[in-house]
Amino acid sequence: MVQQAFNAVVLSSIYAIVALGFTLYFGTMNLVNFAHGDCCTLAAFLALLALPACSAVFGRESWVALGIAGLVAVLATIFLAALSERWLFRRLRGRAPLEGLIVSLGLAMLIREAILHFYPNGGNPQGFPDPFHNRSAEVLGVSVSVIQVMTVASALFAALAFYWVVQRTRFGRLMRALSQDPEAAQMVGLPVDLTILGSFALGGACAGVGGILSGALYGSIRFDMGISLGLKGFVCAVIGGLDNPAGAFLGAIILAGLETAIVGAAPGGSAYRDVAAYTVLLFLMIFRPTGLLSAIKVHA
Amino acid sequence: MKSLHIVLLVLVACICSCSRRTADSDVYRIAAILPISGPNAAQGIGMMNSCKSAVRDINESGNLGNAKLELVELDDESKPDAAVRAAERAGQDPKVLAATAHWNSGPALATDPIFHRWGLANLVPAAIDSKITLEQPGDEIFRIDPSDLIILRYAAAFAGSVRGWKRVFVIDDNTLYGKDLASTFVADYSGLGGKVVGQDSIQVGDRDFSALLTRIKSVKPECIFFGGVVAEAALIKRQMRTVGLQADLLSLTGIFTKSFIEAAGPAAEGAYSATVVPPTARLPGGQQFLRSYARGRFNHPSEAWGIYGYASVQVLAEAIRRALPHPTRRAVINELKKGEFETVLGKMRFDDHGQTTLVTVFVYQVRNGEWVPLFQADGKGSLMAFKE
Repeated sequence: MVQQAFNAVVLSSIYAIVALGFTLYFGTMNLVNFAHGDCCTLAAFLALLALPACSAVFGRESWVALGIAGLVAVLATIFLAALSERWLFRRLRGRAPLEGLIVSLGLAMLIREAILHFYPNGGNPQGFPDPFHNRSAEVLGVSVSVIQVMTVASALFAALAFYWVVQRTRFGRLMRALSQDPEAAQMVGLPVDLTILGSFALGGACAGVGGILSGALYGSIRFDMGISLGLKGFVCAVIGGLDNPAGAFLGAIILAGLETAIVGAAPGGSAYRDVAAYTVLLFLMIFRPTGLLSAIKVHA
Repeated sequence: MKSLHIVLLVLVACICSCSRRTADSDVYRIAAILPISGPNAAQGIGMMNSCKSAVRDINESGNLGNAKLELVELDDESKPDAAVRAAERAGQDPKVLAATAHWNSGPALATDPIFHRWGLANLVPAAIDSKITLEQPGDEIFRIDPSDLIILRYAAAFAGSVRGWKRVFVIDDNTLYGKDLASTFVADYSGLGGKVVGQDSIQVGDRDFSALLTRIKSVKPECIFFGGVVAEAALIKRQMRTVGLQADLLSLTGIFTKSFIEAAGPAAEGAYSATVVPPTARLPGGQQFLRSYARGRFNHPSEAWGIYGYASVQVLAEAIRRALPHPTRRAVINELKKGEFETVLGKMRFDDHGQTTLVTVFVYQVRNGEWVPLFQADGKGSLMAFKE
C-alpha cells in the first residue's frame, strides 16, 4: 500500500512537470500545444546527443557530464520553444484556437518523424543514463531509488519556483494579466509579445526537464514516447484547469493516483488503466468542463 | 528498294528476338521480397545481401548447368500493401519460378492469396506467425524458420522443465501478437504442470509499470513471461529491479536485440529470450555463410536473419535444379514438398503445411551485456545445452 502510494507520487511528479507546460501555453495564448509532449522527447534525445562531447571533457557518465548535457538540452529546448512562438504561433494569434491546435499537431509529428529518421537507429529504444545507476534501498518496507527521489524533488522545486515566478515577479504579474484579459493587457501597453515569448520559453523548460527526468527515471527513451507523455500531461492539466499551474499539480496527483489504484488493486486492471483514466476525464468534462481549479467562466 | 529495306529490318528484328529468347531461356529467377526500406530495413538489407551471396555462389558452382539464377529484388517496406504490390510484380514475371518473401508476419499473411493465385512458391524466410502456413489457401507457402507455436512450445519447456519454475506471471502488450503469445504460452506451460499465478496486459507506449510490478511482487512469481517487444520489455526488466521484484524475465524474439540490453542497462542481466535467431558464427554452416557474405563486400552487416535469406535461396535453387530440364512453378512446389535439402542451417524437409522440420530454436540469456546461447531445441519438444 505504502509502496503503491510512493509509486503514485513518483508518477504524478513526471505528469505534473509536463502538465505545467500545457497550462503556460493555454494561460497566456489560449493554445493547446500538442507539440509539448514531443518537445519532451526532443529534449531527451538532445541530451543524449550532447552526452558524448560532455563525457569527453568531464569523464564518462560522470555527474558533471550528465548535468551539463541535461542543461544544454534544456537550454536548446527553451530556445526551440521560443523560436516556435516567434516564427509559428505568433502568426496564428487572433485566429481560431483550432488553427493553433492543428499547427501544434503538425509540429509534434515533424519532431517525432525527424527523430525516427535522422537519429541513428531512431526507431529503437535508446538507453538513457541514470546518474545514480538505478540504485535503490528499502526504506520502511518501501523500495525507493535515488532517481525516484530526485524526480519528486524536481517536481516540488518546479512547483515552488512557479509559485514564486507567478506570484512574486513582474513577469508573473504580466502573465496573470494576460491570462485574465489579453485585450486589456494590450490596450494598457503591457509587453504582450515578450510575455508570451517568455511563457513559451518556460514551457520549453518544462518539456526539457520532463523529458530528461522521464528518460533518467525509466532508463530509456523512444522517438514516440512524447505521445503518451503529452496526452497524460494534457489530461492532468484539463483535470486541474488548463489555465492554472496549481491545477496541473492537482490533476497530476489525481490521474497518477487513479492509475496506480486501478493497476495496483485490481487483478487484470492494468489493461484498463487508460480506459478508467479517460472515463474520469469524460465525466469531469461533463460536470466541470473548466477543470477543478480553473478561473475560466463558461459563457452561455 | 524501299521494300527491301523493310524486309531486312523485319529479318534483323526476328533474329534479335530469337537470340534474346534463347539467352533468356537459360535464366531462372527467384524473387526476394524483403523490407529494404522502412523500420526494419536493417534486417531486410542484411537478408537481401545474403540472398545475393547465395545466388552468386550457386551460379559459380555450376549446379544448374548452363542455366543462370537471377535474383529479383523487391521491397515490402514491412507494409502489407507494399508487400501485395511486390508479390504481384513477382507473379507477373514468367521467369520467376519461386519467391522468398517477408520478414514481418503482417505482409506475409497479406500475400498468401497472391502467391496462391499465381501458383508461385513462397519460402517465407523469417515471419513467424503460424497462420501464414497453417491457414494458407493452397499449397504454395513454405517456411524455413520455426513458427511462433513451435517457439512457444520450447519456451514453455524451458520454463517448466529446464528451469523448473512452478509459478509464472504472464504479461502481454494488449496487441493481437502479444495476446496470442501469452495465451499459447499459458496453455503450453500449464500443460507441463506449471502454475500461472496471474495474467495482465499493459498498453504499448506506457512507460511506468511500477504499480503493476508492485502487485506482481506480492504473488511471488519465479518468472515473468512477457508477450511483447523490446521497448516495454526493457522498461519492465528495469522497473522489476526498482521495485525489488526478484524474478526472471522470459520473452521471445521481440526482445532479442542489442536495443534491449542498451535500454534496460545493467538490469537486463539474466533476461531470457527464446528465439529462432541462430548464433550464426557458432553454427556448423555459419562460418561458410559468413565467408560467403564477406566476399560480397557489402557495406552493411548480414544481421541476425541473414543466414535464413541465404538458406532460403539454397533451398529454392536446389528445387529448381531438381525440376530441370523444364522447371515450372508447379514443378518447383512439388520438389519442395517431397525433397530433403542441405543448407547452411542444416538438413531440412517441409511438412504437409509447408513448415520446415528443422527446428532452429535457441534460448539465450543476457550475460555481461551480451546475449549468450544456452540451449537449443532437439527437434523433439525438449531442449539441450547449446553445442558449438
